[in-house]
Parts: sequence; C-alpha cells; structure tokens
Amino acid sequence: MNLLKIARNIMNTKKKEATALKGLMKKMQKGKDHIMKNENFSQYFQDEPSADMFLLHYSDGQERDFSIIKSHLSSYGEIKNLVVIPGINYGFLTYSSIDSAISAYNSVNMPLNLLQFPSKPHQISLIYTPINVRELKIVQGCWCSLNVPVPGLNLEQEFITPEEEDFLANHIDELSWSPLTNRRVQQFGHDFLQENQPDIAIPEFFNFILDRLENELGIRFDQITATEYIPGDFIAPHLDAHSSFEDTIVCLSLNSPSSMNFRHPEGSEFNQFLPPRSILALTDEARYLWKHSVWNRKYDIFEGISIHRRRRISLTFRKVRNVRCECNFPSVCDRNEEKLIIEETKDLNPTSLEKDFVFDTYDKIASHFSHTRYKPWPKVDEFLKDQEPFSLILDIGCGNGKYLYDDPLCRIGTDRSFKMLEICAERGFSVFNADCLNVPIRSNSVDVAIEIAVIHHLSTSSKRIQAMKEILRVLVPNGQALIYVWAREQTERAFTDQDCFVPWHLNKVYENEEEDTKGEQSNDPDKVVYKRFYHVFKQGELESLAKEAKIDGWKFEIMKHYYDRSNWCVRLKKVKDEE
Amino acid sequence: MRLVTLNLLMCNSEECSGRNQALTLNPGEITPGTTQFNHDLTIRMLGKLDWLAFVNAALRLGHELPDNITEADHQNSELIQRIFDILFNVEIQTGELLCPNCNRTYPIEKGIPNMLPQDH
Ligand SMILES: [Zn+2]
Ligand SMILES: [Zn+2]
Repeated sequence: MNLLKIARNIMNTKKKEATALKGLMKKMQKGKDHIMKNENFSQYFQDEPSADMFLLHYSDGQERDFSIIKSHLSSYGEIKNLVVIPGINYGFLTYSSIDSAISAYNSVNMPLNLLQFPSKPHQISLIYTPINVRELKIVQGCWCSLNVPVPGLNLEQEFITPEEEDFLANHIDELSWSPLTNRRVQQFGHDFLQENQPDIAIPEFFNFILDRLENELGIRFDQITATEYIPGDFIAPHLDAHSSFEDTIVCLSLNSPSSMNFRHPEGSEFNQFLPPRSILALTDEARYLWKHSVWNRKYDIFEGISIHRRRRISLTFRKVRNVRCECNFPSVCDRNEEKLIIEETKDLNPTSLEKDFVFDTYDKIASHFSHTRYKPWPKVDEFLKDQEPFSLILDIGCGNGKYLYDDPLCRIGTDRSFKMLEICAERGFSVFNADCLNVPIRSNSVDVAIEIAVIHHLSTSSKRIQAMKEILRVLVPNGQALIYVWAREQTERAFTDQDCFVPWHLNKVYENEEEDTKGEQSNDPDKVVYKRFYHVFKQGELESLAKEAKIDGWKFEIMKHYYDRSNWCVRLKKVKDEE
Repeated sequence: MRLVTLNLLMCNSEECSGRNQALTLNPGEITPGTTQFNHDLTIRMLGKLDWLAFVNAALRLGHELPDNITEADHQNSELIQRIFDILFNVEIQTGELLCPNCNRTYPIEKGIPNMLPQDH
C-alpha cells in the first residue's frame, strides 16, 4: 500500500518533470531565436562549458527581476558580468571561475528549479557561449566607468549623505516643475533665460550644499538648475554656453544612478558613471570642449553589471560669468559671436538681416526638404483635427507643407520661400507666395489659421504685431488660430540675447530642429551650416503680442497658452473688441 | 493653385484701394486634377465662397455657372459635381492674376501665384 503510494508519487513527479522540461525546451528555443534575431554573431551557443553564458530569464527585465536573478546566481560563485535589462528577455552572465559557471549551469537548468519572480515563479535557463559580453548589441554604448579619460572631469562619490539626498529631493519636489520636451526643470538664482528679470531667489534649503561646494571648490555658485529624468528621458549633446557661465560646472545626482556621455569634437567618447549622491565637476576641457549628453536609455552597465535607472533629480550648479570668456578653445567658443543690435522701427519692409538670414536661408535649404519625411508635431496636428470638418485652414509659413498633407482640399498654404512652395506644389497642395506681414487673403474668410515657427524670424516688434494683425484680419469671427514661436527658455541652448543667430547644421536639424526630419544625412556635417536670424520669445511675450493685436473692432481671446518642444504656443480666437 | 485658393486671394498692393476685391484670372497652362467628388465638402464650400468671383473665374476657364445658388440647387447633383470639379480639379499652373482696381498683375508660375511686393 505504502510502496504503491510512493511509486505513484515518483511517477507523478517524473511526469511533472517531463512536462516542465518539455515546456522549458520550447521557451528556450524561443529565447535562442530571439537572441539570434537581435544579435549578430557567427556562433552564438556551445555545449562545452564556459564562464560566459547567455541568460534566458523570461521576464520583463525590471529591477526586481534583476535582483531575484542576481541573488540566486550569486549562490554559485562570484559574478563578473550580469546583464538583465528592461524589455529584453535575454541577458548575459559571466562567472569569475568556470567551476561556478558549471555548477550554476547544472543546477539552474534542472527542471522545476523555480525562481520567485514577482509576476509568477518560473525557471530561467543558462546557455554556454563563446561570446564576450562587450560584443553584445544590447550593451553597446552602455558601458560606463567612474574615471573616464576626459581632462578636467572629476567625480566625487558620496558628496552628500542619504538623509541629505532625501532632504534635497523632497524640497525640490514641493516646488513646481516646468515641463520641457524630454524632461522637467526648475531654475533658481540668476535666471540666464530671462534678461532684466529679477533673480529667482535660491531657496534656503540649498545653503548647506552651496557652502560645502564653496569650501571644496572655492566657488560660490549662483545659479542652480534642477532637472528631473524619468528613465528614458534625455538631453541631447551640447556645450553649456561659454559666455554665460564661469569655468566650473557641477552636477549632483539624486535618487538614481545614471551616466553622462562626453564627446570630443573629433569623435572619441566616454560614458561617465554617475552614482547617486556623487558630484561631477566639469572644468577646462571637459567644460569647454567636450559635448555632454544623457542618452535615453533605461539602464547603464557599470563594472559588468547592468544598473537600472530610476527617477533621478540632477542638480546643476553654475556661476554666472560677467567677463568675456578667455578659454583656450576658440574653435568652440562663443566669445566672438556678434551681438545683434536691432533698431525698433515702424518700417515693415524686409531688412537685409531678414533677407540674408531668413529668406535666403530657407531658399537654400529648401532642397534638403524635398525628400524628407512628413511628420507634423502632435499638438499642432491635434489642433487641426479638432476643427469642424471642412473648415478652411490657412497655414502661414507652410514650409514644405507638413500640415497641408492631411486634408489638401481645405488646407491652403503660404510661405515667403518660393523654393519651399515648389515642394508643396509638387505634392499637390494649393499654395501662394506671400509675406506674413501682408497676406493677400480677403478679410474674414478663413475658419482657422496656423503660424508655426514663423513670427520668431521677424526682427522688430512692430513686424511681429503686424503678423498677428494679419491673422486676426483673415479669420472669420470666432475663427481660431494656433501660433508657435521659439522659446528663449530652453536648456539645450542658452541664449544671451533674444535677438540672435542660430547656426543650422544640417545634420543637427535631423535630430531636433523644428522641421523634425529624418531624411538625407550629410556625410560631412561641418560643410553645411546656415545661420538663421531668430527673435526668441520670453515667457509671456507671445500672449502680450496677442493682446496688443487689434483691428477694426476685433481682438484675440487667448484660449490656451503652453510650452511645447522648445516653443511658446498660443491658441487664439477672433472675438469682438467691446472696448 | 486651385480655384478655392484663388477665391480667397485679393490684391495686397500698398497703394491699392480695392483690397478685399476679387482678382481677375488670366489662365495660362491648366492641368486637370483627379480628386474624388465630395458632395458635403462642396456644399460647405458654397457658404464660404465669394460666389460671384467664383462664377467669373470659372467663366475665364470656359465653365458657365448660374449667377446665384439656392438651397434647391444643393440637390442638383450634376451642378454640385461640376462646382466641385471647377473648385478642386483644375490646377492653374501658369498665368496671371490682375487687380481690376489698380491694374497690378501677379504672375503664376509652377502652380504658385507670386503675391510678394514687386520691388523686393
Ligand atoms: Zn570660451
Ligand atoms: Zn490692386
């Protein structure tokens, strides 16, 4: 009787094992297929033991999954590399000794050796491989270290205590964040973005850290930018403007590790690991010559181990510069940039500045847009789709027609650049060549008008008001308009003046300019640089302009104003002016 | 350029006192469009057009249209289809727009009327 029970139990167990094994083999094959699809090697797997192994974890690769995997695998010996990353169901494992690898392999691959994953307990698989972890596609560009060979870069760990870290993060989160496209920010102290604006006082809770930095570096910083990075947020490669700040810039990381990429103009690059509570000081070459960026990854690889990013608050400390920059890097220095002095006049005729640095520039670059992808900005698109069906829409400054595409019958475009319009005409859009200051459209005739990234190219405020008046004039009563202008408040760039030239590197344009194109790339980026004139708008300036524009008993009602993709934006409605 | 656009255009010469007045079309090369007929769109456009200006422009292209359009005409599908075709299936590639008030002309090239001030 008892024996029979035992025998039955054994059989059941064997059966269970066999089913589990069968299921596992299936999952493993899928995992292997995925590796072979994703990576590119001649040989992926091998039967003879190796310290390097592919790890199929069949999970989302979140931080909790990583911890469970790590604690289990550590029991077989010292781990050298462990890669478990979000969204990828395979990873990589290297033991310091091959013996550990063999004992892990034999145990982990046994049927029914379940790991307690939060989603559902399940088995993982290990496969011997001839591949070295550094060759994997999934870790390319992720490898970072504490000491990178960039002159002038200095990392100090545990600059603050975990209590101080919480203290700072909590106080900052109590204040209000301003959204940028790829992250949120708060500015304190001298506001370099808003000239002639009173400084935003640095809150007292920063005092201890300012004192500590002053003790250590001999600099009393007077400008602090707090930036929030949710995993996946990023900042494009940039140099902090030489002319705006003194030599040393310090970055303090709160709450999460991350990494910062440094790129030399000649191409070499390194990833600096940023542990939480560390400060990174950028001086000399690191501050003036190497561009820095944070990539939009959700993990980094540090000392062979993948590290999940969490929400990080980065504090940047800068000191405002009052004298001319005299750095040793003239090729990247902005000290010789001409200061534009624009005389305010009532004359609405184009000036040579506008002709040379707006009209000509767009004509010259038009050819680069003839084959580019059509990709409207989501919020502009939303506004257009929000309108009543068959609304007549006028796009002033339509460029290559990206907002005409969706409804070419009811949407009409106009632009100053004939070359841009040729692209529109070839695409079957109905357009005419005109100036936004003198729109040849009957008054009270279009239901909707948009003017995206146009008014910031006008050099005087009388012109900017005239452009607004023209929109007001052509709209039907209650007709709506949407206007976008470039904001001075951007952290990718520091604008010393509101009136400025912005170089247009065609390769850059493909990354993050308002044309949002991903088309042909120039092989030699330095060859195509065009300067454009911009009047970048201060916060609130566009709204004042809208209020000032009045015509024949009509005015604008501001329905909405917001910040989108480095632009200030207003949604307006033509209403009776009762005053 | 299509006629729906022409219908919105006006002379924008600084000296002209006849702003908001329709321009006269002197067509050059015309190409046909292939846009599919849309009845609702056409009806909605009727309310937005300067009808007389449209009739005159159509006449310059050899299409005769009634001097006015009534509610009842909305059911006249042959007429509505014709209006649609004149509005959306005629592409004016070259020609000239003339202001009847100040006689200024605006050239049309490559399908694009040039309404920029002439001295620039
Ligand atoms: Zn410099
Ligand atoms: Zn005229």
